[in-house]
Amino acid sequence: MLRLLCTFGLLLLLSACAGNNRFVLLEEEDGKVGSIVIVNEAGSQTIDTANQASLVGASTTAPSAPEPISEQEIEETWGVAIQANPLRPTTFILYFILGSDRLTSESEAQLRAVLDAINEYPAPEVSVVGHTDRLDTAQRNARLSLRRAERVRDLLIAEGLDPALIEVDSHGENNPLIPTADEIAEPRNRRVEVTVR
Amino acid sequence: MMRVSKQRRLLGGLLATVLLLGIQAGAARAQDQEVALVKVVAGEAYALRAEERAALTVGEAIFIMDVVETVDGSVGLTFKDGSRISIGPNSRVQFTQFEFSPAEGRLAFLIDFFRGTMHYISGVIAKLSPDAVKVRTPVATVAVRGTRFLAKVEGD
Repeated sequence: MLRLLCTFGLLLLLSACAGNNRFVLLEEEDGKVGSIVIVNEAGSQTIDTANQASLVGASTTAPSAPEPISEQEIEETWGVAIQANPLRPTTFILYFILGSDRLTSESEAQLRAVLDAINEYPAPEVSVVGHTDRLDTAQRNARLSLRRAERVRDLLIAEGLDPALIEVDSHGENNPLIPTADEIAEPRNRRVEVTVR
Repeated sequence: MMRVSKQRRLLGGLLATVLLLGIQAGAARAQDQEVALVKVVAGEAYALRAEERAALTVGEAIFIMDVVETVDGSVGLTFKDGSRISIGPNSRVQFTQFEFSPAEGRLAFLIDFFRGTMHYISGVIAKLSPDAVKVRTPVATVAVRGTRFLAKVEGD
């Protein structure tokens, strides 16, 4: 009987331990705070304030209402994982002379900075992505954005970048910097984004 | 007459072979889809793929469906869309789905987080499609609205 009680007690203790699952929202590196929604069969909970945590005992118990969590507790539990966070990617935005695949002189001067940034990263990769505004058809914009991206890739290779590190893509009009309605001209969306990561 | 039908059969067979080869190449590409690079490693970290358990070093590629796990160490990954995920000791995570084709509107990132500690920072997928990123754990699923968060899951 005593043995049974002990076993029962141990099981209780174990199930209590197994319940320590936590989700914590943090401020982004640029200071913005987004949100996460924690959902299971028993309920859901939204966290939209930084440094708040929700506890989930099991898949059958609803996530707890968000509560503040201290920096010290974050450090104790997640310090090692946070330490392993890779360096933040750097994005350079290059602009073109209207209707051509020639860079503006300011943007041309930035190519050197791209090459310098690459040296900061372990196992660096560079993505060169062309974008357009929403004037003209999506299909033609996809082609135009690719042509501009390829032009930037060629310029970077000419500056000495290892071609194996570069990957070229085009998002056409689907990834605007400034969201607009269709058929609207927006020079700030006619760009090539070079991201070093 | 006889010859024509033989030729036809030959042609048909050839066509089938070409088709089959094409399908196989497609399948191989899907399996080999590279999603991230290892950027940080401390201690022991492994990738599990196709019965193999490979020790991870900086610069190693992570592919779709890979399971990444740590023993006493930690590992940090940067994904193609700029998302970053790092895990602490005794952690296990799988990258079940990763689609990053904004031009075609295909965006999805499904992470299965089985146990341990994780630090997540969103990339372009979450920015373009707020409902596209999900972190599934044994106790709950986290829908990520373009952000940075931590998770700790106790599992086996």
